[in-house]
Amino acid sequence: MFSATTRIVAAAAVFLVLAAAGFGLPGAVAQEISREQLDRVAAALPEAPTVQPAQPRKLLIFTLCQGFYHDAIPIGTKAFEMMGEKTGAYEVVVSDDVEMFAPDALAQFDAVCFMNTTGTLFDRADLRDSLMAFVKGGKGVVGVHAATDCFYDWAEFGEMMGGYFDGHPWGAGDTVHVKLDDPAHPLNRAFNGMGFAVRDEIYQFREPYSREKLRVLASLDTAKTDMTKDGIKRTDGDFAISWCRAFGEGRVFYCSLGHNWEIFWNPQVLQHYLDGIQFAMGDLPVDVTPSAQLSPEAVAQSQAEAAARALEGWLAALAAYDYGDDDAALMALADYGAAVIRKPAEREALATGLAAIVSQEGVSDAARLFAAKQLLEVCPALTAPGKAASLLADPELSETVRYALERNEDPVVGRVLMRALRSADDSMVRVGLIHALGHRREARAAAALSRLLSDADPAVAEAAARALGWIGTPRAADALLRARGAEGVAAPARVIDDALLRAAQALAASGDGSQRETALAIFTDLADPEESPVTRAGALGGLVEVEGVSVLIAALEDEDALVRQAAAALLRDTEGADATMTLVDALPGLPASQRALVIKALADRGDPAAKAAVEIQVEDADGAVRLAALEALAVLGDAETVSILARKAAGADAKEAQAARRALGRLAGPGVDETIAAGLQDPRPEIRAALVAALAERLAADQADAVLGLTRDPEPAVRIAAFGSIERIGSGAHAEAVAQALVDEADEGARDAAASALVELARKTEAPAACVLAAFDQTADNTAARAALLGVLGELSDDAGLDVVRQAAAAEDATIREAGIRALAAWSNPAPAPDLFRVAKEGRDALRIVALRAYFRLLAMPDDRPAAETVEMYDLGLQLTDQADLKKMAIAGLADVPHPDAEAVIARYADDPELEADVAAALEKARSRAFAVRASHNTEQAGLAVDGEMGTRWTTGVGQTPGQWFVVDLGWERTVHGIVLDATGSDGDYPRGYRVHVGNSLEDLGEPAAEGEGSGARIELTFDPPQRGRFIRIEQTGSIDSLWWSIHELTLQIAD
Amino acid sequence: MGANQRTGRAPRRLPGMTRRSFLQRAAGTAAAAAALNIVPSTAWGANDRIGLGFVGMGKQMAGHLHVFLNRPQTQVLALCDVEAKRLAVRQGEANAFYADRTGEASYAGVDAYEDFRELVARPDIDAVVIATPDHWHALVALRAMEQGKDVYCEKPLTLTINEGKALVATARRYGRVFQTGSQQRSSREFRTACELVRNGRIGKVHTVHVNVGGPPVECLLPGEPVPEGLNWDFWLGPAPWRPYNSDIAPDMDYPGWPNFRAYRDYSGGMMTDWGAHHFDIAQWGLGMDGSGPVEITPPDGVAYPRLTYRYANGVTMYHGGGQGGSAGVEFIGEEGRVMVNRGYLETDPPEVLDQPLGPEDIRLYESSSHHDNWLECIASRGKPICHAEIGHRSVTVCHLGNIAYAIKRPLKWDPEAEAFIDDPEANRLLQRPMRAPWTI
Repeated sequence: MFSATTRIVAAAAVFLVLAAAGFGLPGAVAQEISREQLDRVAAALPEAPTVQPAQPRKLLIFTLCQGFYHDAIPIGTKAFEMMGEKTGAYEVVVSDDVEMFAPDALAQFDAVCFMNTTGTLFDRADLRDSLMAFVKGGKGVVGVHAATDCFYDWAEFGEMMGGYFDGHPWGAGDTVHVKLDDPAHPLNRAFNGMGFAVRDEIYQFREPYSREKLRVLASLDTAKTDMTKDGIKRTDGDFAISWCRAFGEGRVFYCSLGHNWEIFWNPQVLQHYLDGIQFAMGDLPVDVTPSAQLSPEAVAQSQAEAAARALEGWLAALAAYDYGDDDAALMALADYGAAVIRKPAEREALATGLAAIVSQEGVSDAARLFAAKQLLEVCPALTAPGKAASLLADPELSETVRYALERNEDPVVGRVLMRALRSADDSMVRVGLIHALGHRREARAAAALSRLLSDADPAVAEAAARALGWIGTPRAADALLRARGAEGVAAPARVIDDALLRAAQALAASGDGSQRETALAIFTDLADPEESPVTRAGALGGLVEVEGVSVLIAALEDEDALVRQAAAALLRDTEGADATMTLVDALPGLPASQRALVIKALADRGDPAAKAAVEIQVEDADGAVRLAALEALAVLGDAETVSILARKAAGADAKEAQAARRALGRLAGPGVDETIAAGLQDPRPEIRAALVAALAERLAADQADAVLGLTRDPEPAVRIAAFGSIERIGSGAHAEAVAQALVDEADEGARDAAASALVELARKTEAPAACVLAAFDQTADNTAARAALLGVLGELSDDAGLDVVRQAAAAEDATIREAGIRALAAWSNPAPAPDLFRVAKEGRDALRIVALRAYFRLLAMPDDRPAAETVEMYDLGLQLTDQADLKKMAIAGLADVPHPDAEAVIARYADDPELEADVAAALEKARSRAFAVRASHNTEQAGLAVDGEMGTRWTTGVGQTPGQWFVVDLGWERTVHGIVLDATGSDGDYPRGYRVHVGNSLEDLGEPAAEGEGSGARIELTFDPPQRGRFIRIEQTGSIDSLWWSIHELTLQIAD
Repeated sequence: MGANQRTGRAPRRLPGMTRRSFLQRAAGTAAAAAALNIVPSTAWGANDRIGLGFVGMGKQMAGHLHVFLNRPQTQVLALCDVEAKRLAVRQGEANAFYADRTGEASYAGVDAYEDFRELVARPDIDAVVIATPDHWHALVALRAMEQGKDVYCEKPLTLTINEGKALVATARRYGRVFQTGSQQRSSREFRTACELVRNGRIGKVHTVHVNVGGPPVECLLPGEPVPEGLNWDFWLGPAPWRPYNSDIAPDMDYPGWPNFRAYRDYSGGMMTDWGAHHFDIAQWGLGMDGSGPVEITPPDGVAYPRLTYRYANGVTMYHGGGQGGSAGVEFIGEEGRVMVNRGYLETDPPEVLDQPLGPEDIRLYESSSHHDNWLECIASRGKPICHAEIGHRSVTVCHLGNIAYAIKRPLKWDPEAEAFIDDPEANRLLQRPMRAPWTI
């Protein structure tokens, strides 16, 4: 029955669900301004006008919105009103009446403020002419935030305001950084020459925005702002925040901040607006030369002056800083340091200021440390080394000053550290200075440090030893060498040895012949058996340079584990073919335990020159050696290794066989596959099986024919391996032969393997069932093969095989019948559903249950059959069983059928206690599916278009482009007579073009029910004839960059 | 009080904390060791279990301790922390575990130390597991290796690039088995992803996106009283002195992760915390384990919206971006993409995943357990899957990004010399001055 409804009840239900889920309705209800918020505004207002007005001034604050309504309008208006009152700079009139723009009304004002106005505010020519005359005649305009989101159809307005809104890549919750393009400009007075961070919605502008026409005051600091946001279109990085301009005889000031409420209690932004308003009203004359016409030198000069002024402030703030205080100045100093690192004068000034703080009386540890950290990064060459040295010796300041200087590349720092070391007497100060000298590799400190090895303070002696190790000159090494075991040396022996080894390594790597000699002598000394195990281990690498790799062979038998371990690592890591050959030569003479290790080292080295030597070890008496050799051959072996590995792969030792098989799978190089294929003729079946498996492991598709040959091998085990291999590397071309082999196969295990392979290979042919059916025809008296082929047909689920399977399912022979039923049950598309129903109804024994389970499984698959029929099929199936698990399966399936009858069938089982939970879940699912909505953009808010509230809306949030969509899922097929798309409230946001489809599938849309171009806020569409379908899809076909597509309310006219 | 005063001093060893015990090693474990590996343990002398010491008993270590208590070839001998409560709790748990296993109710063979230097000096400890805050990693690992210990060290391996160089040199000098805790290398999905990339399954790779958090910040929190039992001065160790704040080092009962990772003096931020995983995988997939990028450009908002690395072979790697979603690392080649994260591996086109590796394909190091891989290598003296140089090179990528973020200028890096080219000020940041008596 058709009944015209303007708003269907179910849509309201959708709204309730969404509201319950916590969806807010942005902007729907004007929020009250709280007392506290007003207090914050009051506290943030400037105290006085920037300049005394020449005469009483009057500002019109205009608040009309024809598009999006900003809920910050009341707070912004109130703030501007209070600012005028408090400072006496102006008084305000607030209005949203367009008649205020009539010439007579406008004449009373000095300036007009567009407070977050949106859309086409008026289109009357007389009013437009009046506004232009007002401004061009010498009055002012102030734009707040959305003032650039107005009058898209009036180019002169856009020209006057300075640009049009082009999206806001940064939303109201984003914090961005703003830089001052013109820090010295009077209208930037509010910001004290410093950029700032702010949380607000940030606009992007399009033409007529241009620096050729505007004096840009502030803009986005793109280096500190997230520039990976969606919707960024400008490629020049120019995202202006505020500007001023001359227009005719008049003046325009615009600032894009003002989406968030807190903008209107931000003292700096309010001051900025006050200055802009006073400029617009004519009281504050400023330079409005467009930015592009300023000389770069002048801009740089202005910025440098502002920065110098700011630097003083930052340094003062740092000097007063302690942990937990506001850290804005600290962050500014860090940024500034990075910015001036290549500007010597500024860098020097910064470093001087920071250095003063490090040693200043009464400064907190926090401030001192922060200054030192900045100095570490920016400090140039030292200008006051004497002072630095005395600070470095001061126990209170040494750590902090050293932090600033230790890493500085100025050579003077080394002398300063030494000077400080001479005068310092605090133990830890001395240790820190010594470490610094060591890390700086201060060669000239070696003499002083060697004396300190005998210092009375053991911490100092230890530090001196480490430092000499870092310095690593011959002199440093010599000092360490002589300190070993010497009387009065307080440094621990192990630290001295480690430092000495470090120094010796530096000498050995120096490229200097005599230094190398020194190093080798040290290594020889430290490798002495009398030395400690760690020291000997550390010297071993050097000893290799002296005595060659053979020394490692001996070290493998060392009595100390650390030496043996070091030798093992060096066997692997010492480079060179000679080293490999030394190991190879030594291998046969080694005891078994070392041999395993050397084999592993040879494998890690990967040098194939070791292949032959390792191959021999495969037959060793020691199991660990054999295994190590097999593992190594995976890396070192080639085609010649195949026969050895094949024999091992067929051997009795499981571990060895596994290692050999793995190696066969991984042997690289030419001819391996061919060699393996040749081996398939081997008289030993174990070898044939191992090799045929290896070919599959190697993906050797070229050898598939050879593998196929082995499916006729006399040994079942070989045939099983061959079927397994052909399954992996065979192609469709092998399917027929495998099918034939299956028919001829007598062994049950091999037949299973053949069936598995046949499925895989038949799938690679164009008509999967064909080769199987051909084989099937030859099996009239071969029940086992027949059953196996039926299984294959089931797996393949090729409809060409369905008849044969159906007949089998009704066969007299029990084996064939079961195979047929199981094949039907395995089917992967819904075609055999009626057959399975029949079996479930009329069949015998356990197969009934198999059939019914499969029947329900198939019903859940996508199919063309009408939904009503699916419900009925479930219903009939349900009547055939008492088993709870099967009923649950059907009920869950029914919940997904898009038809109203499904609910009734599910509800029938509501009283069954076993099914209670399943029925409840299914009913909820079936019901909640109706009237789901989704959209290409902001899909989580799509419900706002069907919530019965004109005050809320769904919107794309981006400009209109073809392809945007909105979809209503009605739950099941219904008759749709028409729809109404209503954008009233965001009047301009109607779709510029639309195409509406009604249908049962979103993939296959068919002919549109309606299409056209939008021309107003409300679009009413009636379908003639009415359309049937489950889905309504509305697609945007038009485009307009500057306006979003919004639906405040979508009304559906639906019957049944 | 007074513990929170600026002292500039390293802690003294506290008396009474240490009860040395060399006698508690369970006997009769030779069989377990022999079954371990192809190399009989007799090759390595100590014919018994691997004696383990643990340094840094926080949240992350709880997992490691559990693993190694349960391994037949290891014997937990000693624990170390600068906070007395967690040290005592973990010691109690470990002793109770062995008491249960051995049936000796009074088992007390797990010792506790405040000073890790005492722990690494014990001759019966063969290997040390390190899960301190990041600024201690390299120091503890160096002192341990200098005493001949093998090391399992948590990621991110270092706080500075030079710490990593020292670790690599020291591990090599003494032939130590060193595992970096970037355990994603022992996960199949990451290995598979890297094998697909390395074997050209998506063509020549030109772009990588790595999705991890950002760089660390300056720690400017207000001071708070030092909790009882915490040796705050020792906790800071080599880091510049500052007063305690619980955000940095919370009580052991605090349910979240401690936030020291956010602060520059103790960590490289999320950049190293997660970067030591995902940049590590990027390096693996690119075959850059012994090398690194040559250019690092911080975001400038215009030409470089993201931190951008370039490798000498032309590959560009971005910090962030890509198709987002689930991928920690996204490799983009001329013929497709590989996207991988924990428990997630996807390719475009999807068939890329279905192509098995053949004998001529590159096979990457295969490990299915980061802990067991380390233990196996201790026995066989092999190189662990994430040895010192890999850990060092991967975290170097993160440090390079952090340096570029901090000094805000494009950098040229020489991965051979491991130094910035023509930028002495940037080279200052390769190492940090350390508070005495600590040094790398």
